[in-house]
Amino acid sequence: MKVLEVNHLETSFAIKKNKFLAIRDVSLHVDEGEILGIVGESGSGKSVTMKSVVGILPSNGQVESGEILFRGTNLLQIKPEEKRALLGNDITMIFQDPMTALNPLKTIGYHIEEIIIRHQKVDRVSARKQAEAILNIVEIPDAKRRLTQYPHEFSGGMRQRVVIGMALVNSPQLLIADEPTTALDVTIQFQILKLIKKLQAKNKMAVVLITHDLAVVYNMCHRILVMYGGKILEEGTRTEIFDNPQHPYTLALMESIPNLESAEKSKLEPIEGIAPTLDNMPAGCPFAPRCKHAMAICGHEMPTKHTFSKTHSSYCHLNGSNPAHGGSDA
Amino acid sequence: MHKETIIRIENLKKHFQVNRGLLKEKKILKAVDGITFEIEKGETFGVVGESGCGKSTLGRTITRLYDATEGKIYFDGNEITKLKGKQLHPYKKKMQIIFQDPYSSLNPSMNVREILSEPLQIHTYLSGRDLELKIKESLEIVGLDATSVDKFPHEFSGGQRQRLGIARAISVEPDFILCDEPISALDVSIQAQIINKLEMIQEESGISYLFIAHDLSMVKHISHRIGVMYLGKMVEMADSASLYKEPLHPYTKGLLQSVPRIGTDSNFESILFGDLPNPVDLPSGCRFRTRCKYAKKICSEVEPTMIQIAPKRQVACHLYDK
Repeated sequence: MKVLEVNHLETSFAIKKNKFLAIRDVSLHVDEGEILGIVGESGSGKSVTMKSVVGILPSNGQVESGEILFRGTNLLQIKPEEKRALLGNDITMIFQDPMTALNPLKTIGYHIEEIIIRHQKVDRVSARKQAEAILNIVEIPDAKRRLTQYPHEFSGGMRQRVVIGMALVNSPQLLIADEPTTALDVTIQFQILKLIKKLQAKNKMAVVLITHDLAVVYNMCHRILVMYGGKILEEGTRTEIFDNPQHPYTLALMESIPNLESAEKSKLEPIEGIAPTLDNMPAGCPFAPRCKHAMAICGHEMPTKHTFSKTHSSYCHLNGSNPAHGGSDA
Repeated sequence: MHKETIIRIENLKKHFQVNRGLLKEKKILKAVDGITFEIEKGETFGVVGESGCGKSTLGRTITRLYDATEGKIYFDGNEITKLKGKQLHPYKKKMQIIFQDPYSSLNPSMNVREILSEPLQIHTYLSGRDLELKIKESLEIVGLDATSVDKFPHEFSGGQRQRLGIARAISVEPDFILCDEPISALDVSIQAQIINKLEMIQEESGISYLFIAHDLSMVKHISHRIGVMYLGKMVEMADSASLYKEPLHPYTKGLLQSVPRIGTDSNFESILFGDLPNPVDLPSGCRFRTRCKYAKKICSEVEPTMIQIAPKRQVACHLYDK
């Protein structure tokens, strides 16, 4: 059952009176009980895609075309009040920096109760009960006292737990997590990922996890999209992407990170050059200027979709005959 | 095989006074609290630990950005702990720093020529054509175009700015560079570029690095030896292969378990729980005991000292008491 379906999304940004397409022809879907990972570098469009879905683009951003279906309803065509009833309720989002998601002048209890009261017809007393229960679920000890405290009295990891609690309190069907652990220590990241995974499985929630960390994706996601320069370059199940990556960019990403398991030291293979910017997007494949296998055609023609299995596809002129492809040891 | 030592610190301490309101009692934050180790010439010593463990303070105390509260710092055999002004000046040339944030560590109103000239004018007698040549040479080493001398920092990407930071550090030909989270602000595909540059510079010049980071896999990759820090103390030191293969201290074990890996499914079970305790109210005995699964009675009473387990392997934990 598809919870979210995005078809041919195009989103633009206006910069100095010029319009640039930041998202180009992005289609994706997430099923019930599934964690979809979107991997990419800064500027790849991974956040902008999901911000387009939720409708929280910056003021110079605009969805140009495409459809965004949440359980069959096109979010681009419904009234603002219908959308408000969905957001924070059926669709919720958590961000990288938990401090900016919390109002420093309001107690933690106020934050959580506000969301409950807004979407459920309950009074403050029962909202407080639910808030206390959700703090227990996100494993914050001493919940009753904690509800009366302010955000600055919480550590970074605790704040992210509070934000996750806020996102889950109305039992959403879709949770969008935008780099939820990037600002946290590895030990705290571990606890937060564990929590998301546990609650996702329990509630059969659909989750979109946006991250740049391949190891996080490996441990969390069922399916993966690799984005670059506003386009999807490869998509597949976890096994397909990690055991049999087809796009040179996916492969290059994996080669550029050190392997914690290997005993001997091997040289890292960096991706030379820098990611393209919006006003300087190559005409063909966005990765072509940095690609080791780029051919003449890559510079001026965007490759079409090449399908390897029902779930695995990539956009590359090599069409799966990648000469660098070494098999499952990547 | 005995190599020469470039940096040696003995029982180094850096305490900060924390004032909490006018009339409240003054508290001491022991950011670095008695650390001893040495770095050999041509070696990369990595320091890992969670935010707030004191790893950046350690680096800044060693490079004399902070004055040590106690203990001794030796650079190439000479004690530099208390040197000031003119006496310290030659050592400042030999110790350079690469900072985490390539956006705030480069002056936005200076162009590349001015940024790179400044340390050279302070520390060398180069001028005119020689200065210009040196600047271009430094830019080439880090892989930046020599024609970019007239550009300003905002015209560069994050990775390129970090290269500028490296060029500035290596231009005065130091013997030692403190790398304080040099890649944390960069994209994955750019991180490898910077790490490879640092390794190449080391191979060619025999420079030593103190590499501070929280990304454990990158630290493993670049370091020869690694120290694990927890609340101002070193809890374990080992060569990087042994540390990752066979961590001894429960904290090191917990840290490594927390790192997500490709190819191995995490069972999401860790021996480490909770957050770092408040560093101004340290637990009695072993500082780690509040988060340690193996904590015994002795851990709350006696602070463990560093025990030599094998050559170049030290751990501070009561589990290894003989």
